[in-house]
Amino acid sequence: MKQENKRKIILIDDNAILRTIFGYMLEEFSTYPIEFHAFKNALDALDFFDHHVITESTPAPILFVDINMPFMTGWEMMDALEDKADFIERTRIFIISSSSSRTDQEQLANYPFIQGFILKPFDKKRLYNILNETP
Amino acid sequence: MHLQRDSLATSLSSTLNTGLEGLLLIAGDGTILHRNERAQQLLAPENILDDSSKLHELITFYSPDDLTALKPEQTPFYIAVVEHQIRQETILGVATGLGFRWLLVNMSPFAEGSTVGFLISLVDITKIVNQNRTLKDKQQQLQLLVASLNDLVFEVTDAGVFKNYWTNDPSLLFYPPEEFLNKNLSDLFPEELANPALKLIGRSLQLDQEFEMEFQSNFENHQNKWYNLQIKPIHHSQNRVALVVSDITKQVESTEKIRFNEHKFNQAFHFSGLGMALTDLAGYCIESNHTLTKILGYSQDEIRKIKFTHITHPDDLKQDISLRHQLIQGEIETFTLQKRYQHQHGHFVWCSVTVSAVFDKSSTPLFLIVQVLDISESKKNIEILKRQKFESDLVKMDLETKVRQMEEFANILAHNLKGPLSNMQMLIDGIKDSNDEKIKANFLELLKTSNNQLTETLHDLGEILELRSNQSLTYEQCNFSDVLKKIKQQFIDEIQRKNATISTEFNVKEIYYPKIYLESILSNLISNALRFTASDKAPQIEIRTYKQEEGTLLAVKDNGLGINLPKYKSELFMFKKIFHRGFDSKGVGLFLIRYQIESLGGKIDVQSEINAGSTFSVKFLESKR
Repeated sequence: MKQENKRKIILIDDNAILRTIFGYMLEEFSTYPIEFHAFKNALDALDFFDHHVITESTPAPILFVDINMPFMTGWEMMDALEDKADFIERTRIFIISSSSSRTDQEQLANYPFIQGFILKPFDKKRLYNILNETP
Repeated sequence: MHLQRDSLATSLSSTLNTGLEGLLLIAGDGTILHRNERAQQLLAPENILDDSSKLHELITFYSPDDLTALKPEQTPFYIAVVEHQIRQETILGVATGLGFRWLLVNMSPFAEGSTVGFLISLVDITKIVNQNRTLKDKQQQLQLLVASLNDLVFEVTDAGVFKNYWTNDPSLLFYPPEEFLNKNLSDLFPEELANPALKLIGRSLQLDQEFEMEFQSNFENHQNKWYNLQIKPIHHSQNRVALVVSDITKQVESTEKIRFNEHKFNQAFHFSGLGMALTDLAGYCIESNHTLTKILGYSQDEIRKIKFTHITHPDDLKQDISLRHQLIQGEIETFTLQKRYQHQHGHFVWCSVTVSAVFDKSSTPLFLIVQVLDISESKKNIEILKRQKFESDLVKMDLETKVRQMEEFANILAHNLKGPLSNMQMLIDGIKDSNDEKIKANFLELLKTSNNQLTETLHDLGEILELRSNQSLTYEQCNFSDVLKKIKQQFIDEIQRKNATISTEFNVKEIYYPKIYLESILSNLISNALRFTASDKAPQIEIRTYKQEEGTLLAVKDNGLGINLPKYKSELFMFKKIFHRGFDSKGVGLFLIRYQIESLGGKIDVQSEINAGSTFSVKFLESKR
């Protein structure tokens, strides 16, 4: 089917403008077809995962998760995902944040399944590199 | 042929009848043949001696040893007659009305023709025997006496030669008896003991007086023991004295101990850093030390005329008297209390006073020992410290608030300003890179939005920063009802739309507070209570004010959605934090009013249960007019 060929890119960030910019950046990406989902908080994203099976598509879906969000922080979301071995096995997760604080850097070590940390602001090139290099 | 009585008369009568000797002639079977007048007197003055009787059967004789009556067979007469043994110098007693008469009995065989018998001579030695007996008794008494003494008694000549000794326990002697008897004490004892002893012996005899001295033993088996030597002239023999040696080590030691203890107590008493006094049971001072004078200002002579009740603060008197009473009754051993003494100059001095009682052997209280520590300095210091602590606590609270606010501002910078800024950076990059005019236009539009957001955030922050320098605030009397009325007008649409009810209970009618702050606080709390509600529940808001320890409390209770406090309490009053999904809120209200409240020394707190409602309580620290 059509959809199965597209790679799922999921952005979870409470900042509407960033979500928009991110969307524009993806539109110009041409290496492979993309299906983009953006959520303004982690709870909405988890609701979506409950109702849509995303783990069966290839290549593996990529999640970009902000840390500082209302209701549920990025780290709390990692806690929620940690137990879902199947989910983290079949997805690639990146943290995106404007925070360069040490505590957040230390938190990163607690979740070995996280692929990488992207500091805001970031440019198109950086995003494309990640999209190209993540299997 | 029988020896006739008369026949004897011729040859013996003169002998028999003269002198103090009683004489008897008895036959071989013991029958009395003859006796002279003296014998009659000595043996039986009250009845005539029957010539035909046997002497040992006729009279009862007694033993001088134990005063018992002898059986006839035990008498020398029977022994001579029956057993043919003659005993000389036997002492026998005969009973008289006054006691015993003691006779020295000698016997000699007698033969004249066919007549065989014995000549018996009797000499009255009653006086000697009695003296002897008295002596014996005395000796026995002396022995008993010596046995009852722990002392050594010696009889010593004027030259110092030991003649005799008496002791209960020979091991007490310095030498075995054979080594010191008939020896001079200067040969036996070191000079420092012998010389003064000899001198005292001389003086004792010369003045006929008793003397005594004490000395410490050098002898190995009595090392370091103390002795008392008494020298008593023995009156009967001019040149003899009795030396009585008593072991007084224990007395000396205990005297030493008492002296030492007394010294210690005196030192402790007079040189103590504590004020010390001995008082009688009524509380009059018997003795006091210099420190007490320093504390109370009275000289030691003046203190002696003062009863403690005279110079005790009236408020402390009752407890003091009651405790002393218990002490004297023996109910408590000691007590310590903090009380005020009136100094001689009139001011009061805080003291820690410890009192104990001294009892005699029969548990009768004798006097009280009072120890006084001047604690006025520390009392003063404690007061100062308390005040300083209170002040520093206030400063600390203020600083903690400020530090927390600083941290919050750092956080606000990190999250609320960095976010829009990084967006703008990305947008500018996007505009630069892109050739698509349409995207450029979109990005410009987004750049404008970001800029607006940033401006708004800065504006909010500015409002709060303004709170931090709120010199221009005007305090006024604020009536809660009036303020509420005004705010209800602001929300009249929402109240009617949601069919909300607002009930009030203003136990405190008004406070002195900046009106704009009070309006802001009530407005935000009511706004939240109206907004975060379940769609199927009409909002019920209860507003109460009441008095608390340090100010007025305002409580706003709603029946709304409630907040997950364990999770969000730490963020509840923070900048731009939102907690309810599906509501359009900026997360500034609670942050703002918290700043307003705290900047004036108050506090805001919340209690909440999800789906049951929340109660926000504001504690106002009212400014003194």
